[in-house]
Amino acid sequence: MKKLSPNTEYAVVGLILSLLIAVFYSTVPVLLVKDIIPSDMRWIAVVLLAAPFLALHYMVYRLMLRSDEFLRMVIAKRLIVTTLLVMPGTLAYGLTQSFVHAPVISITFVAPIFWVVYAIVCLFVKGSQVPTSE
Amino acid sequence: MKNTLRDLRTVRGWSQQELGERLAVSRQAIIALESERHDPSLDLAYKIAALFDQPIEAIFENPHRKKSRRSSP
Repeated sequence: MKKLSPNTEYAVVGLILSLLIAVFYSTVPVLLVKDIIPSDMRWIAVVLLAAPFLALHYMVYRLMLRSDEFLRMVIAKRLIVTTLLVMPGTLAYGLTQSFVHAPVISITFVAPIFWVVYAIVCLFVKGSQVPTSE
Repeated sequence: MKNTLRDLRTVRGWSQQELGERLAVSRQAIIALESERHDPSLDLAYKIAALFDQPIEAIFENPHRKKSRRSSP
């Protein structure tokens, strides 16, 4: 069997994981709310929701290991920019939930928000260069 | 970083994919190098110089070397 290039593997596995996440995030909460999943089996729901995200992070890590210096730098830049956007954003919203009574959003949405922002960041961060003081 | 990589590649009739394979980097890396969106590491710059049998500064413009430096004081 022909070995996939890092980029092709990333695209295929990423698409499969994104589909799994979309399916699990739209069905598992309903199963929990309607008590379809027995209480002693609820850990399965946690695994179903968390595992694809763990796999997604591992996939990006694997892509970085297998990529050349340019792609490695671009991915690192994208992850840093995404973190810079998501962390202060979620922190600020968390504070507004606590002190300004903003609508409550479950913390479980941090992971999908992170990857949605990452997808948007990918559209803008395409080079490896960083601004220097010179 | 300004460079003559595109010219050197086209003179030899290589595609970006082919040059990437010769240098063991992705086609995206070649595109980024040619469009000056990536400054290569010293290792990659040496690889490119060796492939085209030229010194690094003949391929990549040294941004730290003054262009209009006079030889006499």
